[in-house]
Amino acid sequence: MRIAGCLVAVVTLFLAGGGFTLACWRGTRSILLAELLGLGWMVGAGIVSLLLVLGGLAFSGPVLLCGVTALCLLLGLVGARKIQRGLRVEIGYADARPWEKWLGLLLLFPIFYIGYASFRDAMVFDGLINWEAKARHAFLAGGSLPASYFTDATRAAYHPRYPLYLPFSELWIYLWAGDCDQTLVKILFPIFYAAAILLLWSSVVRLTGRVWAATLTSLLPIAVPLMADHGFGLVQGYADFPLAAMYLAGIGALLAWRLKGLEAGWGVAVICAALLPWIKQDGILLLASLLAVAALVHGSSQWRRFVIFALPGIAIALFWRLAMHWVHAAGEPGFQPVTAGTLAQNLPRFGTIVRFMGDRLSTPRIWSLLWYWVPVALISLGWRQRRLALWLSVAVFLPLVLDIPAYLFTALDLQFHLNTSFDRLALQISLVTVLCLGLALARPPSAEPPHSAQPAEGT
Amino acid sequence: MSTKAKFHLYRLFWLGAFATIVAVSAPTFGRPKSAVALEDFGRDGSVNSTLDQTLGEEKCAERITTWLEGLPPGRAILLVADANNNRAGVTADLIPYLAWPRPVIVSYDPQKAGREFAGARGRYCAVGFCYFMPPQGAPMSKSFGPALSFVAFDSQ
Repeated sequence: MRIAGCLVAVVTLFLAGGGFTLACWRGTRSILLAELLGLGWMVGAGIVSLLLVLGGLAFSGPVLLCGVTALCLLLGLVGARKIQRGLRVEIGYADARPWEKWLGLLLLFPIFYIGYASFRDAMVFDGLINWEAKARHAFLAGGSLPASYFTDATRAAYHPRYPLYLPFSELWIYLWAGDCDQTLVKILFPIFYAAAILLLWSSVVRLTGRVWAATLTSLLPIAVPLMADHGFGLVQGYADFPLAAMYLAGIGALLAWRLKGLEAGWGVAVICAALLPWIKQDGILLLASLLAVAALVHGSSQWRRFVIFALPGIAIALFWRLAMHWVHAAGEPGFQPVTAGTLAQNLPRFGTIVRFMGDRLSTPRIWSLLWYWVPVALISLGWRQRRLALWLSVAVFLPLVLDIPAYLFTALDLQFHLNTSFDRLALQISLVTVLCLGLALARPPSAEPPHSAQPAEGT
Repeated sequence: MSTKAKFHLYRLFWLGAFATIVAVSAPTFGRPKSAVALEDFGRDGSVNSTLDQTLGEEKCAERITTWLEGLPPGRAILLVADANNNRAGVTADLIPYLAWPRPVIVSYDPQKAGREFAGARGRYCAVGFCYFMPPQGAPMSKSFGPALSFVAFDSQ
């Protein structure tokens, strides 16, 4: 029964996200199956977690479960109607050669490997006590976290203010399974990984039209230790990889809208931007970075459209901040007062922080050679497409720059804070760095040779 | 150089770049090395198996939860743990997890813990010692393996 309940939870979550994505899809261009599956999962987790939070204010237990399930099914129906009305779902293989299609099968390997690793490794530290614990506590309390959870000063170190995207996705499994089954809940992690891989694949296909390049690019994360199962990441229940996937989806959709005229890309990017601060507090920095890229992409002539683009993300970030303020959530140990005096006092930390960042990003046992190739890829792209290279440079490096003030003002021991957090902050932008490499691989420096494949739909 | 040759060289260059990334990480693939000893965590990664592992007895999570439910509701527990022991850290993280919604104050400072214990009767419903030698003469109420024991001041 537990497994059946878990499957229902997974399907309803996907129906909610897939239906919502289809409902928001604009224009005449078809949606790629990989986009639908990837966005369906990533957005579905956001919708279900938000519905559980809002529904939990008034309902609990079976009523909450049935209500949210009904809304998921309704969204699924709305999506199905959109397909009935003529929105096409394509595999994206229309112009692919047979060997490219077979190559796509290789993508099953990293997904199965992450599935194996998730069930092999324990959920530890943040994955357990910061994230999964929220799901467990909410399950034991009938489906929502009581205000006392947020105000309990003895648990302030477990970050009660962290948003509930991942924990309430786990809660959704618990509610359907009828128990806090910590083994069963790990089914989420390979699905998040698969969603990320599909979004990476579809972003490269959208932007270059080359299926083989998209497949090779999507295989790359499994070869980067921290993006696979080394250190603390997805398989240990951390939220940074889902955050990376959402950031990638937002950047990819925004670029597809601007460069390839994919009308629906704009709406998808808005949804992804909105969900960034709902996945993790650090998501606010990624939201700021995505908005910076969006500002460049929109240009001064489309500033009104840019304001609309920014509003949902800012609204969700503000909603959670105000909610935590209203419940008097326990403060988190962490930062010194942000004043000119503190800044002047801590300025000597700057060199240490930048050196540490450089050291870590260039450590092969963490990142292999990924970060060595990123500047090369950006220069290579800039050779022919300066704007694309500029936008991607902002998307990759601005989050790193925005991390620096957090370390300048940290109240923790600087070295300890850097050691325990920087790799994960870099992990949040890692999928966009892989996208840079994929675009560099797919784009030749000069005109195509006569026998190359034509770009697929959407390019 | 012809356009076609440039094109192929470019592709080869980037395929080579991808290959270097794979080649560098290949020796460690499938053999993750974590900053903590993952053998301190249970086989299936659940709290149950992890506590069984760290405390050396079976069904510890279930027994601890049942025992905690017998304590007066609402009052906090003080848990004193050895700061230099991985397993103590893992266990100490899991007790507040199991005890929720009861507040649990975890202390890794033995001197402070000693002072707290002296005046604990009025403030806490129980004091736990995790991989930490309890004060001599402390009347142990409940033990979960050799590494975790509690003094309960009043139970229901």
